[in-house]
Amino acid sequence: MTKNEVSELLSGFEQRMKFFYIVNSLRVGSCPDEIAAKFQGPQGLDVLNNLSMMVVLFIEEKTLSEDERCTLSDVADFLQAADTLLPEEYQGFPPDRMAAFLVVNILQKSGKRILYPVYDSTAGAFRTGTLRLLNEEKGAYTLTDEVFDFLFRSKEIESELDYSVTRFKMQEYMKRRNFSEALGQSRDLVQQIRNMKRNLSDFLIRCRENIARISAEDYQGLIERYRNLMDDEYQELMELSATTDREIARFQEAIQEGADNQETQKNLQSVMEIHENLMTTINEQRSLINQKDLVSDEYDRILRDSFKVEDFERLNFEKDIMAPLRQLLDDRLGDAALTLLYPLETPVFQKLFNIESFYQPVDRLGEEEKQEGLNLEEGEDILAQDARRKNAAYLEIGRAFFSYAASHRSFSVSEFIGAQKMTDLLAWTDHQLLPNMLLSMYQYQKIDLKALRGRTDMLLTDPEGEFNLLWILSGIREVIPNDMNNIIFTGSDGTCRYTVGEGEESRTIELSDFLVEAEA
Amino acid sequence: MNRDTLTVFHELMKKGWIGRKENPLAWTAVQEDDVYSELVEMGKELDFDIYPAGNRLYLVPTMANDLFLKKNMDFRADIGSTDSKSEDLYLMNYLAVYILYSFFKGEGNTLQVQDFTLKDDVIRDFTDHCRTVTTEGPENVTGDEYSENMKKLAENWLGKLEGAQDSKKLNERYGILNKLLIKFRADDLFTEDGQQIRPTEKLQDLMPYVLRKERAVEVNRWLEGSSDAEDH
Repeated sequence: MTKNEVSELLSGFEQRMKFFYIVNSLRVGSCPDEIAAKFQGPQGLDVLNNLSMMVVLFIEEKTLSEDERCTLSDVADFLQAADTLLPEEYQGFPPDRMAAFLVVNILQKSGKRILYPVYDSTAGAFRTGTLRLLNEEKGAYTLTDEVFDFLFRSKEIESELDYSVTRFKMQEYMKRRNFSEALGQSRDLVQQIRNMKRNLSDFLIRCRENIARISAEDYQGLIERYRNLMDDEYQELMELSATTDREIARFQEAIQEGADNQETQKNLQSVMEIHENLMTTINEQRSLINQKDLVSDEYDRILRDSFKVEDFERLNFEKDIMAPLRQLLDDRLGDAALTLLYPLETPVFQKLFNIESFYQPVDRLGEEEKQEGLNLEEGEDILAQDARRKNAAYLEIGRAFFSYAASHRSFSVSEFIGAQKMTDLLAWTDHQLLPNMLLSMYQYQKIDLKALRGRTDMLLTDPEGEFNLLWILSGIREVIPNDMNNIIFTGSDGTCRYTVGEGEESRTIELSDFLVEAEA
Repeated sequence: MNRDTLTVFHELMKKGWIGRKENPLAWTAVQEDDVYSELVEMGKELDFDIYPAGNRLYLVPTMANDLFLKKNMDFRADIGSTDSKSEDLYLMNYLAVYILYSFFKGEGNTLQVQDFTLKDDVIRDFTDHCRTVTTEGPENVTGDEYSENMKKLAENWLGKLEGAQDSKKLNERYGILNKLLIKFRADDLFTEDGQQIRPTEKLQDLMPYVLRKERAVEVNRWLEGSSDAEDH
C-alpha cells in the first residue's frame, strides 16, 4: 500500500478516535467500595456502564429546552426512577450517591481533562487530543458538543444535513397525514437546531482555549454552512407552520361538527404539539442566525488578541521546577512559593502611613503597632493571631488570680488588682479582658475546683479568644493547691477603680469591689 | 503623558487587572497604541509587566519590584514563626507549588490538565507523593535525588494526622491545606465549592506567563544559588 493510499484511508481519522475515547471514558473502570459491594465483579461494572450511558441520555433530554437546568439532584431523581429497570440484585443503591459517582467521577473524571494521543490526518502526525464530556456551570450540567455528535452518530452525516432531512421527512409525513410520525420528526428538529446552537458555542469555547488549534478553514466552513442552511430552511419552515395551522383549524371544525372521537383528539394533540415545536424551531433558528454573527465577531477578536500573547513556549513544570525543588539543600524551600509564584500576587501598595492612626481608639496598644508593614489582607491569620493573644492573656490572668487566691485566701478585687504590676494590668485591660474575666467568674458565684479538677484532664480545643474557665483551669493546674477546693464570690457595695496607661492613653476601669474567698 | 494611561493604571491597581466587560472605559483606552506603550514604559520604571490574556489585561509585578506588598505567598505569618528553617514552612511552600503543578503540569500542547479537584484527592495524592519520597529502594523508580529537606518535609507530612475537613490546625493535613486555600482565595487564584477546588480565570490566564520560557533564567539562577552555597 502506498503512503498516499494510507493517507486517504485515514482521512478524518481523528474524529473516529474521538468517538473511541468518548466510549472509553463512559466506561466504569473502578468504583468506590460502597458501590463495588453492590455491583460486584465484571458483571456489576457492566451494569454500571449501562447506568452511565443512561445518565448521559437523561442529561441530553433534560437540557432539551432552553431554560431547563440539569443538576445532580435531577440525575438522582432519574436514577431513582430507573432503579426498577435494573436486575433485582442491583436495585436499591442510594440514588444521590450514585448520581454523584456517575456524574463527578465518571463523566467529569473528577475534574481531570481527558488527554489522549491521536493521529491527526490534517497534520499528518500524532498530537495530544483533549476531551470533555460535560460542561458545568454553577451546578448545572450540559453535554459537550462532542458527546452530542456521538449520540447522533454523525461522523459522515453533518448535523445540519440531518436537519434538512428531518424537516423534509416531517413535510412528507404531514402530507400523508401521518401525524404521529411527523410529531417524532418535529421533536428531532428541535433537538437538532439546539445541537447546532451548542455547536457554535462550543466552537467559541474551543477558540478561547486554544486559538492556535482552530484553522481559518474550520471557521469559514462553519459560518458558511450555517448561513446557507438558515436561509433555505426558513422558507420551508414557515410554509410548514402554515400547514399545521390549517390542520388544527380543520380538526377543530371536525370536532365541532360531531366527529369527536379518540382518533381525532389524538391527531389534534399531535398537530398542536408539532405546531409548537415548529414555532420553537423557527425562533431558535432566528437566534442561531444572531449567534452566528456574534461568533464571527468574537472569533475576530480572539484571533487579534492572540497575536499579542507572548511565545507559547513554556517551562516544563516537572523537570524545571518540581525536580530541582526536591533537591534543594538549604532553606530556600521556605521561599519557594514566593519566588516561583509572585506574579500571581495581587499588586497592592504598601500603606506606610496609615491614616487610621489619627482615629484610633485610645486604648490601642503599642504591641500591635510594632508589626512591620501593615498586612491589609483580611486573612484568617489575623483572627487566629488575635485569638492566640487573647487566650495567652486569659491564661496569665488566670495564673495570677488563682495563685493570689492560693496565698491570700480571702481578699477583695481591689486588693488583687493592687498587687499586680502596672505593665500586666495594661496588657490585660486591652479588649477588656481582665474586667470581663473577673466579672464572668463573679457570675459563677461559686467555682467548685474539686469537681472541675476531675474534668481538667480532658483534651480541650483552644478557645477562639473567648473566656473559657475550664480551659484556663486546665492550663494552670500547677498553681492551684490541692487544699483549695472552692472559690466563693460575694458582692459588696464598694467600687474597685484602677487606671492604666499614661497621659492621653490612660484608661480608668471601674467594677464592683466584690469579695473572693478560697475555701478548703 | 497621556491622561488615559494614568486612568488605566489606576484601574489596574484596584484588582491587578482590567476586563473588557468589567472596565469598558479603561479597556477601550488601552486599545490605543500610545496608551499601551506608555503603560509598558511605566512598567519598566516601576517594575511591572503588562500582560494581555483574552478578555483581561493584567498588571504583574516583576521580581525586582519593591513597590508592591508581596506577602500572601510568604507563609511565615501563618505558621507563627519567622524561623526560615521551619519544617512546616517548607511543607506549605512545597504543597503550594505542588497544587499548581497538579493543575498545570501540561501535556502535549495543553497546559491545564484538570478543571477541578477534590480536597480529598489533593490530600491523597500528596500523601502518596510523600511516601514515594521517603521510601528507599526499587519502588522509587524516578531516579530523583531528594535532599534531606525534602525527606524531612515528606516525613513531616506523613507524621501529621489527617484532621477534620474544615480543620485549620497546622498539625493536621487538612489544616495545612485549608490555610493554603485561604491564601489562594485572597489572591483570587482558586475557588472552593464544597469539596471542589477550581482555578479562577485569573490563574488560568496567568499560568502561561508564570511558566514562560523567559523565566527560565530567573528560576534557574534562584535554584542554582543554593548549590553555590553548599560547595564549602
